[in-house]
Amino acid sequence: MTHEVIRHLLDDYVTGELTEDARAPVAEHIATCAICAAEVESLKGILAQAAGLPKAIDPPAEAWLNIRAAIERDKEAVATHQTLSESFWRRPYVLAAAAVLVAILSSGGTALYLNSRNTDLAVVRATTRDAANGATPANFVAFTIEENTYLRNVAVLQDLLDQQEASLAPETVAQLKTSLRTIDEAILEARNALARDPANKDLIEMLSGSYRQKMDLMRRTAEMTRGS
Amino acid sequence: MGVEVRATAWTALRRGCVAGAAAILFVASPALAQKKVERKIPLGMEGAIRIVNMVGTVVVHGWNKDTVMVRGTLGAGDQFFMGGGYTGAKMFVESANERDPKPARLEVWVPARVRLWVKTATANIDVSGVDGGLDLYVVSGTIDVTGNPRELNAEAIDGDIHITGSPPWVRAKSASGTIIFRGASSDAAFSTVSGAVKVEGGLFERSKVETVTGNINFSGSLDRSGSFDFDTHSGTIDIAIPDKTPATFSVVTIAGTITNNLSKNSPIPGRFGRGAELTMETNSGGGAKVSVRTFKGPVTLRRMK
Repeated sequence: MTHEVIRHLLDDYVTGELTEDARAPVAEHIATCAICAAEVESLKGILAQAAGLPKAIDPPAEAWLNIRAAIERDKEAVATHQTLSESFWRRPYVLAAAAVLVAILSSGGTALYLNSRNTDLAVVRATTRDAANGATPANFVAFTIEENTYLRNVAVLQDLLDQQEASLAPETVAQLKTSLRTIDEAILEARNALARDPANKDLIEMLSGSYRQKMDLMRRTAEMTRGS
Repeated sequence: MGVEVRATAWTALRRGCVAGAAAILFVASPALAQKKVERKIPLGMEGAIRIVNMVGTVVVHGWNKDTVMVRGTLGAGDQFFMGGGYTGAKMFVESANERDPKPARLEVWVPARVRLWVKTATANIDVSGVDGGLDLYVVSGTIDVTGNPRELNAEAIDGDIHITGSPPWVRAKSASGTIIFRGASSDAAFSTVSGAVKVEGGLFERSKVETVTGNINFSGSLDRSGSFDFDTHSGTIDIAIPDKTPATFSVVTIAGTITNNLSKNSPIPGRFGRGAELTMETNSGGGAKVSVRTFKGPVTLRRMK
């Protein structure tokens, strides 16, 4: 397993949700990778803090009004956005919702990853095609959820490509890496712009398009390097 | 003295002949190592055929016979397989050395309305006169299609794709290769990463062109009820349409520029004063819907020359 794939399994590793088969290579990697080891420590810290929180919190009556007001304020000015957004994301009930969301995505993504190892490229193909045919996320929050799925699919595809790299000509591999880097740079640039202007639907659509292109290129390469 | 001169000349001539013969053998040896192949099998006019040849060339011609015929040359030790029934056939080259396959050239004649599927790695694919569906895949070779297949799907990783004709439905994708489409289509989509996309020709009903850094050039007529999307991150977009085309344009660039030579409408600054936006109607509006979006690539709208 590659560093990229393992990075996406760390949360399941920390929560003990990985199967034994998957756990061993992840543990082996963590022992030699300072980045992943630090990530594990950080996740453990978050879990320890979360353990001290009450099991359930009733959101205050004005919660939704506050969220809506925050979103409206986000639309109004870029200058004030980041402060508002940060405070928004720091609210405990939003954090709790995000934690649940991450757990769901994490389990789903891990299942997808493990399934893809067993059931071949078909799963990824179906997922990427669904994404390609699917509607663009309507807003920033929906986009961040979808972005998580994109990242997991990219990790699965990257793992497949790593396995198949030997069957490609070195110049093709170099060209493919250049193309992926080009897409990554575009994603990064648009992502930074979106952080400054999260209500910009055009940016969301462009970013979704770039992610879809990346997945599509990786899927096509993986399919082409397989037998007929 | 005269004898010595003759002997020296004779020696030089003999050496020349030996060197010449060696050179001929050296040049001819690859040709001698190649193996010729020629086969023929029946296949229905609307059957399906799959061709796999990893290195070399695959040239396919459509003809009006319910027969598949192949002529080609293979590398020494390579094997050619072909088989199937009247509704479907398959042919492929099996290389003697998978790690270092030798180029094979296949020239294939297929029933014109057949469904054709070709897969190669570095082999070029050249298809002409096939009206059925085409699925063509290369890693780094070039795809050339001439004709009017009812469906055309062409995918490359770093190869170029050239299409001349009017397939009603066409999809072409490459990463760093260039896509050139000359013709017309009711449903066309082209996608690259850094490769340029050049579309020119007749009437289009629905088209989508997307690149990351590749430039987009579109020059064609827009159907009144059509929809057209052009997206790029940093490539340039140049759209040329005939004068008096009724269309509604929505152009957005986050950090690029818009040059509008289609009407008197001027772009306005984009969100927070960055980039530019332009929403306009040409020839009283209605008609085609055109959406153009870039992150920082410049956009030019103009009349066709």
